[in-house]
Amino acid sequence: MKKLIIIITLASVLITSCSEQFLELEPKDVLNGDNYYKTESQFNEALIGAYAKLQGQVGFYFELSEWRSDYLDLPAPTAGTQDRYNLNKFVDTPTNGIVEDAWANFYNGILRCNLLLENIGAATFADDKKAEIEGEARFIRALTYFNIVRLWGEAPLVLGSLSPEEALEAGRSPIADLYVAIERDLQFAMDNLTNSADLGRVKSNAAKALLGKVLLTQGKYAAAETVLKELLGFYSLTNTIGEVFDTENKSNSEIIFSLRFEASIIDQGHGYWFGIGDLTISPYSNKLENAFTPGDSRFAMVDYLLTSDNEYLPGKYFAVRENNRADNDFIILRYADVLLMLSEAINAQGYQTSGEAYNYMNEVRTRAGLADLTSADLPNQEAFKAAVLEERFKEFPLEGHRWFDLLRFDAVNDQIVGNIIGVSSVPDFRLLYPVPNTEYEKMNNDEIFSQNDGY
Amino acid sequence: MSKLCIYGIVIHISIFTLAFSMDSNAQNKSVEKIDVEIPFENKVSLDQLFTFLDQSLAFKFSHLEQEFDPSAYVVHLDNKQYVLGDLLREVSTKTELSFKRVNENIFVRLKKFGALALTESIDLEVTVSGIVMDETGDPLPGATIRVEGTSEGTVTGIDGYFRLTVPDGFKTIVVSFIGFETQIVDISSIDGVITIELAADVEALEEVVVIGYGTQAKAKLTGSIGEVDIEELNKIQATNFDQALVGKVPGVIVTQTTGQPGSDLNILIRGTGTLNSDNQPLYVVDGVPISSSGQVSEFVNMEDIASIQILKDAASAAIYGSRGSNGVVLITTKTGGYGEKMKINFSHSSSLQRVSKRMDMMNAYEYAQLSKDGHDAAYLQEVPTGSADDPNSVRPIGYHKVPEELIPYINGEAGLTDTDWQDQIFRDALMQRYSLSISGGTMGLTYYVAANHTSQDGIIINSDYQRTGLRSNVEISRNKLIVGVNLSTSLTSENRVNANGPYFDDGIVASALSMSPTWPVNNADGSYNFEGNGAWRIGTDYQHNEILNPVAVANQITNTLDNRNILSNMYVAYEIIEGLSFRSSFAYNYNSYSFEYFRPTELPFRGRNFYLNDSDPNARFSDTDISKWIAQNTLTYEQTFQQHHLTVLAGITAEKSSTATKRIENQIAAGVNTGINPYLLINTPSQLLESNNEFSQWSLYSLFTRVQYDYDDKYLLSVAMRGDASSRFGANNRWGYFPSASVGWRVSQEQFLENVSWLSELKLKASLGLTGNNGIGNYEQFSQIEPDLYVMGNPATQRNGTKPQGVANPDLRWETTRMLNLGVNGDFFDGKLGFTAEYYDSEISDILLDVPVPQTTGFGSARQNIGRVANTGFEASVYTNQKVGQVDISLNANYATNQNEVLALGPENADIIVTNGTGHAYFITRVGEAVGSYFLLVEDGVFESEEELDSYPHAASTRPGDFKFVDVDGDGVIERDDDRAIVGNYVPDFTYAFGSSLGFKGFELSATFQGVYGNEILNLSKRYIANGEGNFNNTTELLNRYRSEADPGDGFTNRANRKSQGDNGRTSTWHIEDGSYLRLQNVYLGYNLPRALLQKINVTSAKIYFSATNLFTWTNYTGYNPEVSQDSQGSLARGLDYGNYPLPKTYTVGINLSF
Repeated sequence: MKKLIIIITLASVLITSCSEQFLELEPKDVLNGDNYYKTESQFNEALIGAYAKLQGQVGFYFELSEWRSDYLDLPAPTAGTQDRYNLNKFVDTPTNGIVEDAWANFYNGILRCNLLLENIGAATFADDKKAEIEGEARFIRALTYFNIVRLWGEAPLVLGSLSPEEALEAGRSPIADLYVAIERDLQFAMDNLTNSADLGRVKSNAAKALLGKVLLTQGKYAAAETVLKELLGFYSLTNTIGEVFDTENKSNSEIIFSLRFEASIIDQGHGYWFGIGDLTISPYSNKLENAFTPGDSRFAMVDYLLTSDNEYLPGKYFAVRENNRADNDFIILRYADVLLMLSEAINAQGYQTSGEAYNYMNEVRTRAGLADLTSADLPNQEAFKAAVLEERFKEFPLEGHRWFDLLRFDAVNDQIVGNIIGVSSVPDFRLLYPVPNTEYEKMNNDEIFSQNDGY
Repeated sequence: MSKLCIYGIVIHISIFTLAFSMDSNAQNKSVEKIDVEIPFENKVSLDQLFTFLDQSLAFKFSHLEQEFDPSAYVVHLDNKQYVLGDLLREVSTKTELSFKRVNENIFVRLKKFGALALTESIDLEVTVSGIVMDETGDPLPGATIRVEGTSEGTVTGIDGYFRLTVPDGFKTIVVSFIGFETQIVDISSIDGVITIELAADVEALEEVVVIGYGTQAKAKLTGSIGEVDIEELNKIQATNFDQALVGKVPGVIVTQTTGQPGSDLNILIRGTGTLNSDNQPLYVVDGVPISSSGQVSEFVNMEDIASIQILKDAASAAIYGSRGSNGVVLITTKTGGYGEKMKINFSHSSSLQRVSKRMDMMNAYEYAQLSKDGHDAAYLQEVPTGSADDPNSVRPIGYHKVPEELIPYINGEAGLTDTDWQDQIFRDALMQRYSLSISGGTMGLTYYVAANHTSQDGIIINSDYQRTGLRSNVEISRNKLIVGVNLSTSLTSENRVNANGPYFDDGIVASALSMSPTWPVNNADGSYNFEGNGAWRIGTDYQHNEILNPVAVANQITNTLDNRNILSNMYVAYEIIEGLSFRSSFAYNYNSYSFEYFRPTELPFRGRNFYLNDSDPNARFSDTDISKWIAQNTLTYEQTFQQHHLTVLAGITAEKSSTATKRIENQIAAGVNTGINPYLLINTPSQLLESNNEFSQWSLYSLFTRVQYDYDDKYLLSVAMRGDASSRFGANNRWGYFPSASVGWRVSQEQFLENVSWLSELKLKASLGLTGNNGIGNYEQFSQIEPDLYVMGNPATQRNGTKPQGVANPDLRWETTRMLNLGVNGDFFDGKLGFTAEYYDSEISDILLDVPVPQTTGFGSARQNIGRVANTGFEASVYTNQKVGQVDISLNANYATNQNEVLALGPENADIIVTNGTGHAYFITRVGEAVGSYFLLVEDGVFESEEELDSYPHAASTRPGDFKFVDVDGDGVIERDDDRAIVGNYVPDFTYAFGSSLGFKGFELSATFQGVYGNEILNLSKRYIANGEGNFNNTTELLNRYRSEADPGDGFTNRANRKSQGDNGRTSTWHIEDGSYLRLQNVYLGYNLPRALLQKINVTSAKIYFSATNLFTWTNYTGYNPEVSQDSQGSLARGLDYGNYPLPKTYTVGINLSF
């Protein structure tokens, strides 16, 4: 009996003796961030994660650019579309859910890039591999900041991961500083990336195209022209506009950078874009409905076609569902955009009666089935500029460019007022979105983080 | 700690000094003077021994048949030659028995009824004689009879009979027996034999209650511990014990949010402490902490529960350290008693359940008109030149038009389809319960083995619940060693339906309510009708929301949950020296559950894209295994020095829990696999096959000690300290310490109150302690990296990526609750009247909160220890037990308030505003307010005219018939954000319960009521079923809608409009409702069959009863059940009703039998 007692006592004391090992438990089914960002494959995975974030941003191009523009007109809100309605009618407030979500999404994407970028220096794998990963991540960060600066203006410029305490000190940086950072990232990407990457990866040329747009947006026309011209010869317009969006031909010659979707892979498809069940409930503004002259093949891109499952879809995003998902890619940069940007950049530096500015624009018109424009049609710089904007209006519906184009062309009031029911003017302050009220309240520091004027 | 002590009643029987004469009769000789020689070899069974002594010494040995069986006792005797007294003492030492000699009788009883091994009384003369019985007429041997005011007395014999000499001048005798109420009998007019019936003593002050890691005399408690009356509990017809706890203990709010069979309940003790983490109390079953409340309700069968104690104050719960903040529920299951005769209990009940409430929905004709009004309004606001009489053909947009199928209804044609969808999903359902237990003990062994089975159909079609449980509590004792095993297993199997979900997620109740009554359940060919799933969106899009036929959803989707539990606990206790005992236990707890989900191809996906099409069939399986061990070692030292009583406890425990979940899901192409089952589907090759594996662990290592001291049972003190180290805490905060202290003063024990005969007990107590809440995720201190996919290449292929998830926080720690408790309790007239009253003041600090952080961190929130919340409250209960004539009456009532106030939040005390259910259902947590208050626009009726509209600020699109919102900030403009106000919260001002029971002869009638007062509910269901848009069926509330200036309705109900304007659809106080209710929780009528009748068929007791549960609820709340879903988003956003499984009312007949 005594022995039994001793054994039991010893056993129980042994079982309950404490060691650090007993208390230090780490997750096994997910990775611990403290030990991550070490190997080449981890940096590759982190980079894929940065790309993956961009997929979720397609909706913001639609909501914050297209629904804010003269393409789309929402007659009345329903329970789920109030925020969209407010954006569409220019009555949005700092608590708009779409604006909040976009801010959160963009800064989460930036963190994904930043964690990768701030750790890659200490990693020990081949420098050329590092440069490649770094270049792609810096492109993604630049693209994200480019959207941020165009939507909100001044914004926190965060180039590393922040603790919650540090984040409270991260105020809104001047627009110019944001553009400096964007250009620096894109320059790095141009210099360190190749043009032979996998379809879907950022190439050096994609960085050039984006840089061209960044420069153009800042009014640096000559620099924009220079960098955009470096793309000539690498890409060509497809024979028909339809081929650009053909889901069977995603790697076509016009694509510079697109966000990839693939419905046959779980969670990698998307829901229908701009689908409707009844043609009387089209989201299009009257302006878009009536925009296309006879013979303009681009009409087919916005025309609604009926799918086999009772949905009408615009030709541009027509899709056959697989696993109940569609798999159109979302194109961020394509060659037609480069051509029209070149026309815009050249014309902005001085009106010419003929020459390359016309050629680039007419290349796009020709593909659409339209006659060339000449100085007879466009007698001055203003007319040319207006024609570029008009061409972009018809070329890029539903592609997420329109609001930014209207800003760049300083044409918001001209183009929107009178074309969207209920919008009688767009005050200047609405050219920027409000910073989300939640962020404003969290920062609670007007000196470094104030609300945009007017909101 | 032996089971005897845990379970039993500690007793001192005082025996009076009785003079005895030296009669010639042998029986008058003291047992100390009788020699006896034992003829047996050294081993003898007690029945042999007693028979021998009976015969050789002319003593009559007796015992209670139901107590023990002497033949089961075999003792080894040390000698052959004995003085009888020594012999009996030796037998007592070696068994659990004690002896009481009265004249020629020797009664043998279990020691738990008398601590002394041997007592003796011999009397001489007799002038009074009588018989003492219990309430059922059984004689009580061993009852003490004393002449009041003298030391003269005697005890009753085996037949309950006594004789007593009463000196001259004394007229009353006092009859007492442990476990019964003492009775004083006037004998002045007695002539002959008197009959004395003793009533069982319900409120025995010597009662022992379970506390953390030990027991304590109830009278000496200094903390706040709520006790549950187990008998009352068993009157409620509930499948699980937690359902029966509702309203039983003040300060403990049990909320039943769903009638889904087999679902868990929310138990909230003393208000909302934590904001984000776990609010559930810790459960400790037979000394083993259990993390999951759901598991407890499954493997603890109601009939097997011996006691439930709820530790409410921090000082009581602090011994559980970092898990004590939400209170602790201690459950002890039944055991057998040493030497107790085998007892068999059987119970059975059958219940009929019926939905307790139906929503008052429109019929098809009313709905058609509402829908037309809605479409008309949408048409007229976009085409102001139009008219409501315009035909569809001239209306330009789909949602301007009225669905053609509705026209005959609008024209009032008779005999059209008019489906009451509630009729179709609800049913009357049966529940049956069986329980059997066998308990008893012999020398050195006790056992309690039990089995139970419950089978419950749900009141919604295709939902049911089955449970089978087994339990075995066995203990072996030998000399100073006790070894025991508690083993329980349970198997449950549930068929579930998705009753709580929204209509767009296959939610059956929401679908049934909002589905147009114009659609039939079945087509003419018997197949399910799916026209509600988009017929009004195809071709012409009338914008009627697509709803799947809820009957089809309920019947065609397979959704099962199987649950398996094993809890095994082995313990060893050893008394090292007198007063010092060591106890070690090792428990293993295994819980495994499996979900199976199958959606067949015959059930279309929701939406016009899928309409009537076969869907891609989908099957999901998941298995979760939770495996946990816990080792606990304690040393307890008890000592009494004169008036000083001291108990010291020291302990060390370690536990570790691992949870592994495996999921697998597959979906294949539609149609071709009609009739496929989920197993085949999973095994069908497909690239869609998805699987994942989750694994997590936590560990906890603890040291604790407690000192309890009292002086003369009068001045009480308890001091405790626990240290916890947990894997869940950040590396910088590994150890947490939780001290506590409490004091008590039993005023009634003071000399100056000794002569106040009506005062039985009066105690003042105070306690202060710290407890913690470690209910955070297992790895929250780490930043985690999770998978994220992307596609690249042509054709695109999957690329595996990762994403960061969350901000690391190595400083993460438990939440700390400091609670002060002041209490007083009193008991008067020997238990006829009593009360308790307590006040508490607690402050929770270091709250684990998802603190909003700037998105520049990459995330919107980070889990941090920040903020403070105060809870103060008052709890009271009163009871009275009276006997009026033949009728026993007892009444009880309890009342509890809780006031919750946020004291501090994150940096700068910024408000925490979150949404739940929908994007504009805001909840605010603000310093100075209650946690999670509703923060909404304030609705104030509808604008009834253009004139009224012009006179008050309103949204641009508002028209007469739309809601009027209050300009809260008074700036003359209605703004969605600036005109929000704090408009109530989900915390009741007070909760209360009361009940009464009447006993008469064998009958027992009782009723209990329970209620809450002063909480508000955010009834978001109204967004659909009372939205007036005509796209869903609506409640009849919309019959009172605004139609025109001339016909403005009731002034509170908005106009119909398919494209709702003026923010009618925005969440506002229109969705807020008073959640107060009073519920007749239970009515019970039982009848104990007469013993005389039962004895003939060898039954000890038999009871038949009828009971009705959840009969009536008085409330102004319009939803099914004012106890609404509480925890979808933690404490920050509660009180939301977005549809749920309604509660049943239950009518039961049952029988309890004991053999």
